[in-house]
Amino acid sequence: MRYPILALFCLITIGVFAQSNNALPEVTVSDLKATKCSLDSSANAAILYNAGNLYFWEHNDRFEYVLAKTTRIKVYNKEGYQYAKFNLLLSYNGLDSEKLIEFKATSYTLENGKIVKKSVGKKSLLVEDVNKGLTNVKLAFPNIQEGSIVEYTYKVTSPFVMHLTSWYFQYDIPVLKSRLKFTSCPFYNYVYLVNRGNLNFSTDTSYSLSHGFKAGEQTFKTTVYEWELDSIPAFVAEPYMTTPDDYLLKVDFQLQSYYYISGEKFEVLTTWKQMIDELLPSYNAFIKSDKKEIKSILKNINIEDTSTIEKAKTIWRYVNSNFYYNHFNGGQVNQQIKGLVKSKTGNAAEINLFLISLLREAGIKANPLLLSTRSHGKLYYQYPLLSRFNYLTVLVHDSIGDYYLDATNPFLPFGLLPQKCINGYGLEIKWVKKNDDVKFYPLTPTISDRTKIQTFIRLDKQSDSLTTKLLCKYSGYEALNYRKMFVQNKQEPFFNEVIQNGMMSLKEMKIENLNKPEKDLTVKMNISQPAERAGNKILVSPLLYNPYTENVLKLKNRNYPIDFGFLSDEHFNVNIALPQGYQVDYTPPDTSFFACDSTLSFKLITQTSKAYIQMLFVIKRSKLKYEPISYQALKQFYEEVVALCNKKIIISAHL
Amino acid sequence: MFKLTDKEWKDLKSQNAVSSWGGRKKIPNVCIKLPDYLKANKSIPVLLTLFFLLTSFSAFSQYQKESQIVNYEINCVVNSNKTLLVNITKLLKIESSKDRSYAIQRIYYNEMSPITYISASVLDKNKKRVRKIKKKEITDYSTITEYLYSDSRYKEIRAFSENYPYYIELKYRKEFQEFLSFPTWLPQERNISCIYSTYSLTIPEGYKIHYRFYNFKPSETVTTNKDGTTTYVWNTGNLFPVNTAELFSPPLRKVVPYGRIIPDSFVFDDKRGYMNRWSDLGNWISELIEGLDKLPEEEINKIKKLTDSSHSEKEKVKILYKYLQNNTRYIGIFEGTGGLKPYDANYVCNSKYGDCKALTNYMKALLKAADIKSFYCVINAGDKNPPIDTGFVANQFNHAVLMVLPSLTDTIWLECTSQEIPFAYLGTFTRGKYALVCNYKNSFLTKTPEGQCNNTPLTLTAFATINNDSLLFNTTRLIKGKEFEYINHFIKTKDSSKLIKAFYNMLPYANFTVTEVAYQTKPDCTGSLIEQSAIAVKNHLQHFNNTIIIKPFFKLLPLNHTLEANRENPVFISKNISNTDSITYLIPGNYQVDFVPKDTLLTSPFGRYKQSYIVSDSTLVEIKKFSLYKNSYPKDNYPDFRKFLNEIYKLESQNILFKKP
Repeated sequence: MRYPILALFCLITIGVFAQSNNALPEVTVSDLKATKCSLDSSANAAILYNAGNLYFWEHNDRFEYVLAKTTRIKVYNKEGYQYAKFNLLLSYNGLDSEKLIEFKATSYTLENGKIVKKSVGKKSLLVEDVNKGLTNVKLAFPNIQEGSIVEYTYKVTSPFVMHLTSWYFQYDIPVLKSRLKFTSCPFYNYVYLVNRGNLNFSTDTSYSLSHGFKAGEQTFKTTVYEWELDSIPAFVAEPYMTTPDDYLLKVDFQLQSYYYISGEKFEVLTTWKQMIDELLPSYNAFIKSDKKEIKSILKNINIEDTSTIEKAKTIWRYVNSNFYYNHFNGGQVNQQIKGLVKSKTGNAAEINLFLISLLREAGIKANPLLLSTRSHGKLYYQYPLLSRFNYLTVLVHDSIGDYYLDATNPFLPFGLLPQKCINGYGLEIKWVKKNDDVKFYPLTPTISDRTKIQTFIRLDKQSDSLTTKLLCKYSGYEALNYRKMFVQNKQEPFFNEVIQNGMMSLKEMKIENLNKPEKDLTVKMNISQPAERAGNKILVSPLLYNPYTENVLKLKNRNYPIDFGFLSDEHFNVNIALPQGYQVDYTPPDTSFFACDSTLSFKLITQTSKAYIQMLFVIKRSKLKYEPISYQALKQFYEEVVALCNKKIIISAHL
Repeated sequence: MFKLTDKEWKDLKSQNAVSSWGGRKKIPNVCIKLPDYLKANKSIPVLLTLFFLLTSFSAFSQYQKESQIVNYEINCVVNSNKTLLVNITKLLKIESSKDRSYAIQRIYYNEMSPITYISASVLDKNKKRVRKIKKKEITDYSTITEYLYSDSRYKEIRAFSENYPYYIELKYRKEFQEFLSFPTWLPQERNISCIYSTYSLTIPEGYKIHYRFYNFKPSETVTTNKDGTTTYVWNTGNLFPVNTAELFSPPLRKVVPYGRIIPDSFVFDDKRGYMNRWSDLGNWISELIEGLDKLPEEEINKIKKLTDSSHSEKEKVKILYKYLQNNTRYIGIFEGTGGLKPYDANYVCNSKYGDCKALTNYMKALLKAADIKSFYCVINAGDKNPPIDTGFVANQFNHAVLMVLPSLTDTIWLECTSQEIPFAYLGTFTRGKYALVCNYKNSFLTKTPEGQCNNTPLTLTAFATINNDSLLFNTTRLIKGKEFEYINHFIKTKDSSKLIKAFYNMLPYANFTVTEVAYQTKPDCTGSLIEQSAIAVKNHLQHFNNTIIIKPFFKLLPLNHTLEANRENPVFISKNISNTDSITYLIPGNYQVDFVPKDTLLTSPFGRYKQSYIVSDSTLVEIKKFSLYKNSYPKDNYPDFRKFLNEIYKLESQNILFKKP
């Protein structure tokens, strides 16, 4: 996949106003009669045409952008009725708002061989204020039946030229034809990012219009870009992936620079360095906004006479357990330290900058690290775009090495980033000397999800039951998830999840290190279950805790990378005491195999003595992300792991 | 396939769960979804508090005992102009940082019940005010729903502090111009302890109220004031969380304390109504919907044409129901009086969509055009909302259905929100439930019929063959109830990929693949299907020393769980369950049966289980029968009940061995 970059430069000349016209062919009887989508016979609905015209106009003494869009959707069956709805989110802030200036919705239905057309206009729209900043405009199409076609045409104006709307070629239903015409504005320069996947544009042209743009009495030369993509399959999200937005076929626009009428030019898209320079003052202002408070907090938490790392730990723990993350991200601060200390609530940037302020005051080198979370999508290194970031965390430089800190989750162990941050690279925000480069840091989990489980199984002949002692140790994100569960008193789901075979009763359960995220979460369990018998044989499942009861990779083929977001390292130690008078009939053979350049490994060793069967399973994955080409190997690997983890040991009484 | 499905097991466990495996949009009665219940009636003040009640119900699984509601006061005053003013004060103790989520408080409202005052403060452990929450810290949200439109919103307050324990003091006021009921009293919202709660209501002279308290008995004082008004005060306290996460425990709605208080008469949408007899409420609804069943002339002619040729009235109903199903769809729109008053038939006729009320009213209009009498009914549907109290006249309904009388002896019930269900089929949502038949002064409360095949036992027959490590099954089984509704939806919408997915969702097992699945209707049993499928179960068999170990795949009790050592709840079996599995294994050539479990019969007061085996030269037939009886037992019987289930599980889990001689 390539992402062509193109800067759109415009020259000033005389011209006429750009026209918006998305005329589609007439709806025919045969269109309405169609019962299956030619592109995908299983589709419940499909977008037959999606045509957009994106241009600028002068409005309220400024330039706004306009999107004129026409979408025609075919509903094949009742399951597709949900697509016979219109839904549009409009943004607003205190000063400006996006406006829906034209709207028309039409449904076409076949009745007794004749096309019945029903149209409704803007008056039928329902408007709902979602919350600060968003309005939802909705409509359900009237008169829908299986086979109906619906079409809506609207025109939206927006003053938010910084974030020009993206054009999506792909949706969760097939799209037969999608085209966008973009008429540039001589005063705004955009770069655009195109993701066309493996498809080829049927139209991909640009041409200049000498009178394309009108401002006041003058007209200017503009450039027009046209893209058309046909037969676009429905997007199907797959497990273990970052946001679909990373993979959907679309065009994104980013403002690069703009001109004032006076001719003065402002750069928006500059260099990473310049971006940092612009950010630094506001961050520094926050960090230094309340020295007195910072000093008094440090005094209270008492970190005198400890090593740098101990100091960092104490400060981080203080912030993490006393400040509530309001689940808003972004790199902006909306309050200063004073407000944060009062409300105890802040967004990630505020809480983490507050942490930096305390760390720095304690003499520890700490800087903001900007990143894009997994659900926000990937970063394009070639484009220094602030909007691509949505999260601020902390990078600490210590003599023992660099590490990350994040104070938004009290269950995080020291030095581990929240899992949502494991997404490519983060940019350090610090002043960079003229000839130095900005620094990106890889966002990897500093620790694997290490799971160690020791199992001791004993047969109680009297009650004909198996007694199992389990000692489970968890670290990393898995420990974090379990901690969250335990804190809410949800032990039973853990038990259900962890143990899936047999009729068991939990005799004892002990959780250790629940509130010590730096340590392994330890769960001790005593479980008893009836022995599984078949004639004179007893069958024992060695993995009472078995995360591999089935292969999580179920898809036949994979289109997108498999992005796990965590590393895993599992050791299962099993010790089965052989009752007197019993012999071993079957144990699985010793096995060892690797896959995907040894980033995946499995090992099973069994040792049998007179009194014991000992088994060791080691399953490791040392890579975060696999390309689709590795999918079959990956799937096969787990297929074999599942088979081996579910084999039972068979013992029988001596005859 | 198995009768007590994983899902049913879980349903049984929670008892109040609405089937969620259908995907939220896929269940025939679209009104089944919890929010719909609220929205469908949302303009009635009581339901706003019911929203509380209901959200609390669903949030109850994570109960905890430390943080508590220290004081919860609800103060209602009916002014002389009959408007209602509600003042609420709540003092909440947050014990430690792990209870931080309780520091987020939401107050729901809509256009009919605006919040006119709100204040929140953080108090320290000595209840001294530390901080007042600022106006701009209180955020306002729309309750984003899947409905097309709803004006329901909430205000969110986040009151955090770093010093535990601490208190949150919340005060707010709501005003109602029109109301059918006073706010429901739910002292233990979000299932946390309530140390003290008081509900007071002041009414003008001559104003009458009715009230009832469920699952608790508050103390009561009634005072007549100097100005002629009367004040009722009810108090309660020391209420502790209920743990209904235990298996087979009664649903929360049957154990959690709540109170209903309603006016004897009310004015809503300019119409006066009374709550003395069910017929009063029915009469009021009849008047509310009066005249909404007018259709355009063109539509009436169309209806006449459609039905003219059929002679039987029932046939006509059938034709018109089909017409409704083919031409309309369910879409929820809730605003203003739309919460209680349906959009008129003309609106549905034009748009071809509506919510449960609008579609029911439209169907009524269609029948009227064909000169067939039918009655609009409101119904207490589903099992998530508080159960109906037939002795207490109040709007306890959350859905609408239509009762049709094609002849003197025949009664047909129609669910109008589903395009897929069979004619005259009442789903699990509405069958056996109380409905108020609205026919002016002759309105009455009645119970809808149980399903036609309610007592048919579920059966599964399967033929199993061995293929290396895999087991291949050809199965035939009967499905009905929620499973039928779930599957039927995808059959009718012709979405084959979702149908396969639905099939997978219903099997509580791992590592199997479906190679084929087909459904047939069962003519003698509306609302059921015969399913035939071919399944391959990977890695299911283990070979060693010329022996094959076959572990059972289909299980009547598919899920294992912990024994609850300190059982808190009685044993509650919400419905009769009766299943039969018969599985025929084809013995591979040159193998013979080495071991089969013994034939066993287990009987107990709770139910019955029987398993038996028949061995022939080439086949081994396993037959399992399991029944549980609808009943409830005191907590002391729990160990016996568990023993019974454990024994079944153990019997069912036995392996079969085939061996080469």
